[in-house]
Amino acid sequence: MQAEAAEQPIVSVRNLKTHFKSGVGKNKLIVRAVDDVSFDIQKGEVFGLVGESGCGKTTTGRTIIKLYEPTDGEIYFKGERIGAGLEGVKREIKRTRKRYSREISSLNKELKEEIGNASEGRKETLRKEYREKIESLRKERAAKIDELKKEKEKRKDDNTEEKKELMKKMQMIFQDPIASLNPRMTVKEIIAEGLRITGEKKDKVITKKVHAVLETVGLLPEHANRYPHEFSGGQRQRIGVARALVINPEFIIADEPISALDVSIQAQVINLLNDLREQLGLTILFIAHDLSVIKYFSDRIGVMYYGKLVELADKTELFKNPLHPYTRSLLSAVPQPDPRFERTRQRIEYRPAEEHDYTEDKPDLHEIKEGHYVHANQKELEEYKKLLKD
Amino acid sequence: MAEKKKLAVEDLTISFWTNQGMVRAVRGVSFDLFEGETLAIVGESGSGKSVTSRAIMGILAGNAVIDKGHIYYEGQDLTKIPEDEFHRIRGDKIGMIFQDPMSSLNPIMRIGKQITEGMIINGKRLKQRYKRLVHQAKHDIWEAKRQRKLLVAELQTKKRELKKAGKTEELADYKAEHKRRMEENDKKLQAAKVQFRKDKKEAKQTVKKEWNEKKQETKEELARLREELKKHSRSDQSYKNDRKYIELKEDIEKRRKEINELQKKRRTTAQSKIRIELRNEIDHLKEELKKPVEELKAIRRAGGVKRKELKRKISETKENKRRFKKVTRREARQRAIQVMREVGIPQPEKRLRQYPFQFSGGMRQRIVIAIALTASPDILICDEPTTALDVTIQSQILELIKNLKEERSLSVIFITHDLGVVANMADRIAVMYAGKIVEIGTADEIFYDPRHPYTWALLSSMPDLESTERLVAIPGTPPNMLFPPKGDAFAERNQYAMKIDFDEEPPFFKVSDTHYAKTWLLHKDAPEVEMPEILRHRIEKMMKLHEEAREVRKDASGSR
Repeated sequence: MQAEAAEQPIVSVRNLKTHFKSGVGKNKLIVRAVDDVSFDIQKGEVFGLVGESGCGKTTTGRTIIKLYEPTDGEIYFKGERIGAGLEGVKREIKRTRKRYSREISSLNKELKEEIGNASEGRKETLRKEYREKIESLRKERAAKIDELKKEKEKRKDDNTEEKKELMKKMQMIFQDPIASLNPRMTVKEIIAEGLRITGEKKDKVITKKVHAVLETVGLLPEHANRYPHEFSGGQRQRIGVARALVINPEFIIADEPISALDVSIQAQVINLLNDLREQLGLTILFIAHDLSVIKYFSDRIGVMYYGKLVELADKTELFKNPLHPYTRSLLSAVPQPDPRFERTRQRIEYRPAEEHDYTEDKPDLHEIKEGHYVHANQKELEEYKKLLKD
Repeated sequence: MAEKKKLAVEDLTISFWTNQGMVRAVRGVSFDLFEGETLAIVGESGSGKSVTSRAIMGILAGNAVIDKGHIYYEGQDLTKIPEDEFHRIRGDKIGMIFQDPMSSLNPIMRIGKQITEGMIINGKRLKQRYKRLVHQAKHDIWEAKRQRKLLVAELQTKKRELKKAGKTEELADYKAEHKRRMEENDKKLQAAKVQFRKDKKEAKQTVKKEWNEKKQETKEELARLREELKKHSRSDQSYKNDRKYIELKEDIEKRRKEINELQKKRRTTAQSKIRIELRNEIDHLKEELKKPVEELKAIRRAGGVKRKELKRKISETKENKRRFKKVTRREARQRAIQVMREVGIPQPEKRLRQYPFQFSGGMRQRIVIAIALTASPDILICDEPTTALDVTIQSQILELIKNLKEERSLSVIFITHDLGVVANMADRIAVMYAGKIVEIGTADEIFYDPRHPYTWALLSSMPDLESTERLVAIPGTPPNMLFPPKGDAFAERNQYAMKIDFDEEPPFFKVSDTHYAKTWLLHKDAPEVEMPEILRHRIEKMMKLHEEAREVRKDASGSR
């Protein structure tokens, strides 16, 4: 997508697919939670993912941090591949095998026909000719499949290999501050767990680091010995942030960090994340369903709908030029603190079956303007181009 | 005010007994709800907004105590009436929609049953009619009994008081007086009891009479219908003598013969050309034959249709009789389908037989709304109905509630912690903090001219689509209601707090006829304080936008 970008993106996701399978035979059900999603996150930016519940935004986040195994596609973190799905390679192997065997059998058939027509003397040369051809095809097939298998093995290795040093740089903040903190551990234990896992053994260092990080998120060092239930919702979310920050990550996945909080507390947490981002130069993947918060907090926004990234653009661009009908419907649904405006507001409904006709031309993510991508087919692309304003 | 008051809450105070002590959840809340309006109650969690609504519904937790205050609905005080009585109001007159649609639906019960359940349970019409007839007398008995209790209690305290003061003479006087009042009350009670017995008897008779009449009526009707049905019995073949029938039959037979002959001819010819011609002709004739055959069938079927109709009438009559007594399952089902259609659930007949997990979040919330609506309540209490839903679904549900409100002229109490949600919905907004209403006014007043620092903070703490500046967060957390703060509860988190805020609680200051705020800042001696920058900018921008929009509209109408 952005191969020539001056700086290497910190995270890049290529054709990521995460499918959940359940049932056998007739009851087999494949839920395509994430289906062919690609994007890059540049260093220092906040990338917002927005969409309704069940559209796969959380699954995307969790797959990036490897809480889920990707089905297909690749995830690069700081230039290194940290996760890759095998499904595509497997299918490619099958396809290659089939293609070559089809070619070989067609050659055999050809040979038979030619032999039937040819004279006795030519038969031998014909046989030899064809045998050579088939042999070369076989060799080609073996080489190709070998290559693919190697790729498969490599992907497997990439998935299983422990890259502690690298993965340390990626952390996650969870949605529910009550459910994500162990009630039987003190705050210090909760925050220090990550440090211990990454190999820190000296208690002195741990205590020092925990106290420092508590101060960064606006709590006091003496809070370290308390239990989560002694804190209010906003403070608990701060603990969640502190836990993510303690091992100096470069990239944070914030999965709806404020949805479970009260309105007055939400602002506290957003301000905190904003400050931290400036102080520590963090890159954040911010997942939320509240458009006003996303607009306020992120630099670029990706809109997801049923496992697909339908639109991706800079935030001002997206709000000025919403192209995909789903984005427009989403924007029209944002409640505003303005009664007179609200009384005249028209909600746009999104009916995918009526909006799109993808029977002939399959849609894909196209760059319609610099940095503005939209999921559409060629015909729609033309229409969207007309809608574009500067 | 010209509008009709539906509900009046006066100085409601509610506490909860807990191991740590009394939690003062609601501390003197008063508001009115007018007919056909939406009142939004906004506040953080723990501000007492849900407790207030639960008190109105009469579903407070067991450890709750209503310390003082009244909730008036149709002349009755809901805090005083006994539980039996409450059944007639809860659900029937005041409906409620809860926050989480998943936990307010039973996962192992079909949707249809859940929607019709209440109708069937509450649908014993005869019984209810009887209850209504004896209601007044019963109410008198309750009243007298309650009065008696109060008198006894009064005697105790008065006795103690007077004894302490050593006023024996007065005590004797008081005792005599008390005895007189007691006797009077007892007499009343006796009279009420006698009246009750009499009423009971009468009511029983009336209800029985009505029921018997209905039974008789049904019986006669049924007899008549059955008689008629006999006339149209299956063995009745009188239509065969009908002239038209005979003619038709003959005509058809003639045509059939013709076709048969042609077919025979076709079978015996070898020339393909002629064969094709013949076939075309046969097809044409067959096509022509269809019409008279249909007519004939219609004549034959006429008896059956009549029979069917009669049978339907019979079952309807029976059903009517049952419906006189109670809400039947068929009736409940019809009503459920109607309500489901009203709340926008497609294919209600099919959906009735499904379980909650087969519905999406928005659909589930629609079902919860449908359940609340089956009883056609006057007042609908929505306790954070959209908090568990995401933006698009949320706006759908809000629109639905708004439309229903207009169609049924409901009065709605809408509880939420998100001010953005209510801008669309609410006519009036009450902002609650720490068990008290701190500001109340119309939606325009609250959004365009907020006065209380807490409202400012709430409004400015949420980003809107234009905001880029740093958000104004409210520092700290809400106060612990075990130890409610003295003075203004918000003072501790309030950057504009003055000394008096910590000592004395501000009264309601009037801003306009509909707009009141509880803050010392509105006192005439208070220093001038501006609302936060971010909020002022936002309101100015909104006003400018509206101004422009109005001008555009004016221009458009002028040029036309």
